[in-house]
Amino acid sequence: MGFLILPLVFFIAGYLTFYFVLSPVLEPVKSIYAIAFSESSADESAESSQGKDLFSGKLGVYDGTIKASEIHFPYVGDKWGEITIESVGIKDLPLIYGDSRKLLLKGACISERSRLPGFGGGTLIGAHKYSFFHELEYVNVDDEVVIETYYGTYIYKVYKTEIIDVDNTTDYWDEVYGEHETETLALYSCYVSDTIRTTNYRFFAFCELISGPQVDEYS
Amino acid sequence: MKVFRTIVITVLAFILSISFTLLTLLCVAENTLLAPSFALKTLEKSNYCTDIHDDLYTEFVSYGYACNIGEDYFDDFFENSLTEDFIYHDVEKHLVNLYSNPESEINTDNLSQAIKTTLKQYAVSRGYGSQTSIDEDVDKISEELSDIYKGYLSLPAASTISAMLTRIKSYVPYAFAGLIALVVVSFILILVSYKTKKISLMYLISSFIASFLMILAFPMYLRFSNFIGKINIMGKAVYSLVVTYTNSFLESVLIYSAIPLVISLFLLIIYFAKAKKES
Repeated sequence: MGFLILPLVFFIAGYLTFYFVLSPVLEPVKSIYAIAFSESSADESAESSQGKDLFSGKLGVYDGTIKASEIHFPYVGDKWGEITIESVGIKDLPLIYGDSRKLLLKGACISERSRLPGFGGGTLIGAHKYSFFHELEYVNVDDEVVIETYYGTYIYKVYKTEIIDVDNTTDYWDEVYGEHETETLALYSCYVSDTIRTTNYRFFAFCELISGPQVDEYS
Repeated sequence: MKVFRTIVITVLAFILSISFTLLTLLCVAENTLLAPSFALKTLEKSNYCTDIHDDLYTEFVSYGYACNIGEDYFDDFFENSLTEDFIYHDVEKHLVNLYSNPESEINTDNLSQAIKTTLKQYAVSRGYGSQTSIDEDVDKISEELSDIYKGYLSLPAASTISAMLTRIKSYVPYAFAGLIALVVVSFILILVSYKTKKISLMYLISSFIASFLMILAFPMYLRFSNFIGKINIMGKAVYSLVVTYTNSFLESVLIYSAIPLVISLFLLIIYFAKAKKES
């Protein structure tokens, strides 16, 4: 029995000693535990981290008011809708939340700093010219842009197109984030001529909202 | 007097168990956390280079789309130039440098040259090669792709980890000396405290069994509960490396826990041999 009780006493006392000696180091670690570790392993949650498809087809909701509490806000990587610009042959292009380089390979991406349609303010959506927005620079004023989201349909009209150096943020910041009578939408892609080069220039198509349901964020 | 001696020897036995535990853990650390060879073995075991290769392909293709470079260029480039072996050699150098040279950076000269050569060939095949600005454009693209490459291969907080490892390595000899002295002194004191060696052996055996339990218990829980698998790390590649590294370290700890177990079994044999002799 002596070979059981004494070792167990030493074992428990030993862990208690380590705990008290290391507690100044453990306290900050404990406070970030919830951030540093998740409930399930990354392998189990890998599928969910790829991005969910929130959009399940046209809802046919063109106006009215929707409560924000009734909408599941997208996470980065989620598909939240589709965009169509009939005049230039862009049809049912996936809209992805977030705009990292990886996500830009999946479709047109919305900047997390801008607002989703219906939430008031400006919406900034970009895509690679090489892949999805190849025809964007052929869009004209008064062309219609339709955004189908998982909570309603939004119709915009182009009111201006412009080629802007993105280092000059004031040139497009006001169009996207400034105060306007209606919600605005800015579509953009790289403006690269027929050569291989990096460019600071972007082709912008600025649009104003014609119709779509409004999201009430305060109810 | 006897009670006082019992208390003192019990405390000494506890000190022996703690110091032997720490000494064993220091041996594990010396052969794992502080050894570049362990990091390299972990690199081979994990999917780090494969995952980095895949991530870089996606990043480069997306970057290329913004510069009028098609996916076909990168298909070829990743198959013939920026291969998994190429990445492995750079990561290997980066890991080894973590232990010796905190200031070192990943050298992208070879990559940069490969991009410039192949991109110019691609530009010529597309009919852009004669343009006067193409050299300048290719140089700029090569520089930016190299920066993306460097960003992906550099381990998070690498310079902090490197500085920490260098500092810890400088203290290790003193820690070893101190712990060995503590173990030897407490061992000898316990051994000579009693005329009846069976009692001394009982304390020594208890110390080493306790040490075995202390080294085994928590790492075993961490390893087999897949606790480390729940760590929140965004990048798949770094996640794979961290989980493989930590699990390999925990497995090493479990193996080293056999040392106090073997010592306690050896002492047990002596104990029972003495008991048999006395009876």
